[in-house]
Amino acid sequence: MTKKISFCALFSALSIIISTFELYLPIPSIPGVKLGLANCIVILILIKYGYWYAMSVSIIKCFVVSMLFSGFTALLYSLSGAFFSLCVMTLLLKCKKYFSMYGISIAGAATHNFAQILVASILMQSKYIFNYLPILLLASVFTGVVVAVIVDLLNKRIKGF
Amino acid sequence: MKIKIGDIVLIIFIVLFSVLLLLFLNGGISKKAIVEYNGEVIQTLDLSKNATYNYDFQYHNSVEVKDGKIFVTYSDCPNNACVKTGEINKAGQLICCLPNKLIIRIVDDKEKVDVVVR
Repeated sequence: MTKKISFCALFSALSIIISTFELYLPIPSIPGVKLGLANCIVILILIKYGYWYAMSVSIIKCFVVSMLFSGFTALLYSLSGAFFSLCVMTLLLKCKKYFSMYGISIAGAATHNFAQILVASILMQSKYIFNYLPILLLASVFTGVVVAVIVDLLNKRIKGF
Repeated sequence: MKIKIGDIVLIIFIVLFSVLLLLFLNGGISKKAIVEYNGEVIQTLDLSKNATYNYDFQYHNSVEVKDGKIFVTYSDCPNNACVKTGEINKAGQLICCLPNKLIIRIVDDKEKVDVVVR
């Protein structure tokens, strides 16, 4: 088990670096649209080590990235998005007969965005925030596919953990 | 990696859901408009009363409220984008005359604060 813990620590650090790198990419954005490349790591851990390890890595990543860059509100959005997204993905992972990596990752991205919008609309006391949701959901289909491809590659190439 | 049936169902569901949201998630017709000059609210207008208003700063704007809609009837600003905007009546919509630093914004009757996005 210490081997798993060590690797999770490593992957947590890696996901933080990827998140940071992603923030500096010159991609024009509607507020909130992110590639979510760090989710590749989280999904990889989910596949190999299971729900609890993946949740730990995800929580660590949320805390550090929010503390480094945005602040407490961003932490709240991040955590809620990550939590629900991971739960949904874990559930879908059990239905491997009907869902491939594409579906799991798209569902994760969509749930993440939906949960963030939900929390944002509660915090800001405004139902107009949902106006962001259509674009975010459509974007999540694309980012989901990108992440799925990357996770598949990582799964095939990285061995020994 | 092969695409499976669940993936397709999921994607169709998400696309349909987004389209439905786009169709049904309008601000809703509202009766209150605010007029801002240089970013500060100078007047609140009631869209249920037909009236005309005039604003003279750098340029002149003639604004008319009729049948719950508001629009700029005449302006002597160079680009006339405000006149070309036409009528608005839903919360969240706005007409701006940038040369005159004027923004007419329709606000939801029930909510007091406009959303601030950081």
